[in-house]
Amino acid sequence: MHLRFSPGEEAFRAEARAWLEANLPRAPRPTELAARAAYDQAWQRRMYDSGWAGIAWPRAHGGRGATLMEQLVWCEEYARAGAPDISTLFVGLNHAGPTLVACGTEEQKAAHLAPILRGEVIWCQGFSEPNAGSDLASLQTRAVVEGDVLVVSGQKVWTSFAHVAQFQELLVRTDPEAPRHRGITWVICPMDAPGIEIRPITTLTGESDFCEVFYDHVKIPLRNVVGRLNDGWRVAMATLSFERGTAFLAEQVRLSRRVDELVALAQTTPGPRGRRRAIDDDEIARRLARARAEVDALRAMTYRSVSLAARTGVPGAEASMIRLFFSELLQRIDLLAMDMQGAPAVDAPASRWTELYLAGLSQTIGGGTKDIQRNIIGERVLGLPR
Amino acid sequence: MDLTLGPEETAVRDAIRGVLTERLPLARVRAVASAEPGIDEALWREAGGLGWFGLGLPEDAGGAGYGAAEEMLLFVELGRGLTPGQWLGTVLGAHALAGTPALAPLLAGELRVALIDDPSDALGDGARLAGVARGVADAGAAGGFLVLGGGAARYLPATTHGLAVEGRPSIDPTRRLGDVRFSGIAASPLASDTATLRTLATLLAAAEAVGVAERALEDSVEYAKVRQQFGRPIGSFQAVKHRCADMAVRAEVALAHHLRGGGARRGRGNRAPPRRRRQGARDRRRARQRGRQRPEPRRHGFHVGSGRAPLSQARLAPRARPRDAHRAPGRARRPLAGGVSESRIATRLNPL
Repeated sequence: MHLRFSPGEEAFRAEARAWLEANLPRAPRPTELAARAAYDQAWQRRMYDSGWAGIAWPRAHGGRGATLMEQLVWCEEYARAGAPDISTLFVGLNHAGPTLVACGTEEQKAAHLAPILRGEVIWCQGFSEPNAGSDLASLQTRAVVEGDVLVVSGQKVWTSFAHVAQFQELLVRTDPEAPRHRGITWVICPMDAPGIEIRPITTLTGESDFCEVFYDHVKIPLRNVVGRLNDGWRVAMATLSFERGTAFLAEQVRLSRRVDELVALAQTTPGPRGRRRAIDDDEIARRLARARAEVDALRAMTYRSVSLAARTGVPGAEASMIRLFFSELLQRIDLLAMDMQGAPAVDAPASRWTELYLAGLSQTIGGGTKDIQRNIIGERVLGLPR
Repeated sequence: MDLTLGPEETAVRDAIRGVLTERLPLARVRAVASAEPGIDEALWREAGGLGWFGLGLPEDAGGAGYGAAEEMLLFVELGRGLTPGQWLGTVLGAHALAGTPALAPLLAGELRVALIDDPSDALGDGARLAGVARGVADAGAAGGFLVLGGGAARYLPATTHGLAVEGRPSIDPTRRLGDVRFSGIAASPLASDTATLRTLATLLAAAEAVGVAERALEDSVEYAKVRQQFGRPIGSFQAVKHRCADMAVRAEVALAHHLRGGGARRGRGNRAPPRRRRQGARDRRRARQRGRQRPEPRRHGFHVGSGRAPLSQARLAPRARPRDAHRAPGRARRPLAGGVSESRIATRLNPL
């Protein structure tokens, strides 16, 4: 046990902090999607050029080769600096990239890893379907091998940024006769292939980052299969283990900053009865204090999880505990922000805090619902019967 | 930063757990709690022999030369074992009484010290202590009292003239309470810094609560696996499974946050110096020598464990104080405490 950061980790932190202070983009992130994507890509390129892309990725694949704990330190400094959310590049950097490092062919790694790190390509995810969410293994998008191509027909849904992505990590059913976990294939789908139709979905916050994707006899080269044909479930579980392990580090760290902002807001916002400031209200002050302690506890859990992953090499099922605690904590904090605003919280156009509240409602659904996380904790951490 | 146990720490933890599992199965806890003096005196002396009271003291002060991490491990195990006794006051006493004649008997397991937390100096801050400290844990069987005032710590042997202890019932059979009356007793301050002692007290009380939580979680989950209703183990029902999952999350939150609190503690670091490895080896050897006696079949522990949490919360860990939210982070008056009182912690966090 080392209860504090090592001198090496502190030196890494100082270096990261100095670089971020000097290089943070000054211009605000645009709202229009294409401009937003271009902004994200330019910023990623800047980080890449200075050696700050793929912090914990192996050096052989263009990463920095740093430890997971240093990756976490980077996330802390990134959040502290108020650096932009990697948003449109999330799937490439946190899903597809690590999956290719673990399961891809040399040809696939050579073709995709460097462009992902340089921010040159946007990836999207093609896992969920209208009838396959929590029960992902029931997915039905079909793919038939014809010569050296897979011919894909079906539908995916909840695909963020499909309309600006160049590639998709796509799960398809290649053997409908096999037991359902054994007939699935993980394939790299080029989004410009003929037969793909993309329909944006407008979400609660009014944004259209989500899409439905329809496939009508879309031809994908067989060499794009990651892992083996019909071995996609194993590959997908690797993808999701990266998501549960490290992908949300930045979000978890950022929540701490949100609470600090909320404390500052409480010092200027009128309280519930309009007489005093919000922070003078005992109930609000108590909830703020609790929120601040809880985001610190979240950080402590993250430190422990990263310590454990560094010791064992793989993110464990305990990551589900962090995911569950994080998502419910985020919603408690967002709800507190709503309560502090009082009646104006429901006025249109929505305030930033109201938008965060609305967007936060998806946190206990996406990436495995809170109920699925509880099943995982009950069965895989505690060993309770299915 | 590494918040997992290394091999050496695991060995220390296992050695402590081995002793407590063997000496204090739940039936023994019940027996001890229902008889006088309410603590296991043989275990206490054994703990002295094993160096448990001086884990965090430097070797030249008669301690084991470990740090906060090992002291925290001890208290997690004490909580897990629902161990009766004045462990908190005695370990704090080891820090506070360094350099005094009381230290040697304390470390040897011959002197048990109860803690009186008096942050507002209700008993007085001058040369004399006067008044009543109510609800002092394990006051009855204590050989001395450590009074932690606002600015100074004082030690008083239980035999001091003018000091009287009156027992009172509590809902926790493993932790008796007492009212301690001081009638104008002269007591000089110890050299120790009260803020440091109070931080350590909070940290170790939190560690004990973490241990109780872990025990409650494990016992509940174990029961959910064997208790059958509707022809299935009840742990297979999501209504039960999800509650167990929530318990697991809360226990993990408590453990992780508490360890982080240990890292924020001021003072010396947490690494055992290399020569101290002998201590771990000795603990391991002794644990092995004790053999592999199976603990008695477990009976329902809920009643024994359930009193601990509210009592821990009432003492040393006041509920959230709303006013604390005002204070900007970094302008705290005291160093970061352990993971119990969220509001006190909250005010002291450095913002990211």
